[in-house]
Amino acid sequence: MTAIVAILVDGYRELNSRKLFWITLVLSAVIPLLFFAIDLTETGVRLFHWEIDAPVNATIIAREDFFKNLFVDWGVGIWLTWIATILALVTTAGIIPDLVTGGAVDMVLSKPVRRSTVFLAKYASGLVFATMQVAAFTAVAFVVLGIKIGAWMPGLFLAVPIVVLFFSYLYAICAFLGLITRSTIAALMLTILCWVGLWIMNTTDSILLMVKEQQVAELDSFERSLDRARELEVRIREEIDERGENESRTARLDALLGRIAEREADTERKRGSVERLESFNSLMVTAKTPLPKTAETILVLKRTLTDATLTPPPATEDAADESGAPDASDPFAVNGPGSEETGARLEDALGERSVAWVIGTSLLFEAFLLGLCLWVFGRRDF
Amino acid sequence: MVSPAPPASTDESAPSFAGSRSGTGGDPAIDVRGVRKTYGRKVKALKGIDLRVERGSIFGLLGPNGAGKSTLVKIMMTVIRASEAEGTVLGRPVGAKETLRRVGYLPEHHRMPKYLTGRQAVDFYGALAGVDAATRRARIPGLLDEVGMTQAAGRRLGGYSKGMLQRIGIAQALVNEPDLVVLDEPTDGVDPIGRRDIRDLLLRLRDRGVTVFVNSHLLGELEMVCDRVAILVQGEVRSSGTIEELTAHSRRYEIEIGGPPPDWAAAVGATAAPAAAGLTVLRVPGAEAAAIQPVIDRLRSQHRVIHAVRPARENLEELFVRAVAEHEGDLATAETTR
Repeated sequence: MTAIVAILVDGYRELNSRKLFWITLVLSAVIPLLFFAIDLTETGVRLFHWEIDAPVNATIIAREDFFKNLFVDWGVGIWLTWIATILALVTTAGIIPDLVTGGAVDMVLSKPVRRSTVFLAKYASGLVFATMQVAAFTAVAFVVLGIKIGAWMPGLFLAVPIVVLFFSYLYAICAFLGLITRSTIAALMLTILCWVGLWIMNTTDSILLMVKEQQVAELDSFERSLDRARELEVRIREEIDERGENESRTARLDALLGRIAEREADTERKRGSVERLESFNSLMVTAKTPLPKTAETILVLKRTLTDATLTPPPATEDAADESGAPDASDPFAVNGPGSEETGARLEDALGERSVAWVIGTSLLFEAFLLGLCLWVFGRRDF
Repeated sequence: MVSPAPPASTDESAPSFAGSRSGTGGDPAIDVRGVRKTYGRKVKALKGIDLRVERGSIFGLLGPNGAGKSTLVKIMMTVIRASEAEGTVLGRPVGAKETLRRVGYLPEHHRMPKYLTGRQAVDFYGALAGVDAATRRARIPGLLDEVGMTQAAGRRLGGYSKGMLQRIGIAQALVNEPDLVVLDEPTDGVDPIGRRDIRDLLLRLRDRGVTVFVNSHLLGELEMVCDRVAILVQGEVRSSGTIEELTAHSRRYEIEIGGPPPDWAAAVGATAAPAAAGLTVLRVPGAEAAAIQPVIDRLRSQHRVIHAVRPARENLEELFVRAVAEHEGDLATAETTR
């Protein structure tokens, strides 16, 4: 225990000696102060003293939800998961390469401490930095938002474990690469490369999922239009039965049957397309399962913080138009899903991926990588 | 390898160290046999080292660059895993982590974190060695004083000279009050005053009953403090023993005379060599003074002026060079035979 505490304290001293550590920490504490400069108005948002008309305004979203979203989308989504994470990686990437440098590693390994303990304590000291950074950001945001909107939201502190978890996936990659290459620069660059790879994979997954959800929505719309057309067909046939055939009725029926046949063919094509996209999505999920799920981990935070707390926006005429309500005069009229509907469907689809899958499989990846590190560190001659 | 008992001494009045010895008489501090280290299939760094170091002695390990000295030390310190090794260090099997609680180690080319102060560095490595905080607080001021670093202890290592780093390195090696101290090139980069201080420290440690194992290129330094030495060449121990034992066959008398060498020098088994200021040195093999009396009588009978008569023997450097040369000669012979 004495040794573990010593390594953690040493880790803090190491970070403390780097200017970037303090710059990042101060920035993390200062950025949330910007919440003071932002407010929601009846027509949009106010930034410092500038009024900006925006679709997001006090009439469609509660103030508390607006700031909660702002915290998650901008504070966590942009600052903590991109900018602060890059700064944190730059700050901590050298911890493992410095540990395994000749002359330094001898000093540590010649002490009565297990190699696994040394490595894990050093790894933990990197995570301590990320924890301090997120905790500073969240604590200041908590106070600022509490003062500003009068609502104290302890749920914001959920950002601390989730963002640290997110950082730990990347830091495990960085630690492994640092151990193998013994180079801070190589570890940092390759980690960022891996991160970009994961981002591309996640983005591809999201795009495929979004396209699939669009296609599913269109398929639903096609099927509804077919139902309406068949109802119309029944009505025309009843009319013929009641009033007898004439040229006009027969022509209407023939035209309708022709369009139904066309729509049925379109629907079949659409169904095939949806099935293919579902296969792609399944493949993507299979490919992602053993990898860390960075974006989805942050989405867990967003879901947890915003689920069931957002005031549902009142339905407006524009919104109704966009939501796909068909033209009553034409049974074949199909309105594709609006962007909001697609977005909601995408979030629902992502929401179907359980927290256990997102975090559990990511942690398994991290555990595997750390196990590999311990194996390499434990067996290597220095 | 058989080793006579070293001239170990203990100082009962010495603070703290003396009471912690687990006995200096019985089992050796280091007793390893057949230590081999092979990298890949071809590179044999150590080819079966047998080494025994008695408790309470200063042991010097010599060897040219690449001989395997540091590899052997690192195996004992668990930094490197031996391909094969038997024996014990402080009574425990080679490679046992628990042994390191009673061992202090200063590696060659060590790198301590530059952001730590001297005091913090000793404290950090003390904590890694398992020394509790209260003990460290009590012990560190004395250690810093012992290595002459009290004044600079609050400064960061990044601003230290090489000699100062060596002193702090030695202090951290002693912070757990070890039974065995292993120092790899401890005087590397240290000025003459610092080297003398380190020599004195090693002698004080021995007087307290601590076993000191030193790797060094500075043979003169080792000669002044080591009870026993071993010479390692290309992964093999070429010779080992006390310096007295290893140089016994080279004992001789040197007679410094005026004028040219006498023409009968070879007839009495002496060799002659010119010396400064027109003098000649006659080297007469043998450890006994009686052996040179006839030579002196003959010189006196010829009215030759005798400037000096002194006993002499091979020094450690000459011994070392000879051992390396013999090894190279053996290799050349083996190659020719093949």
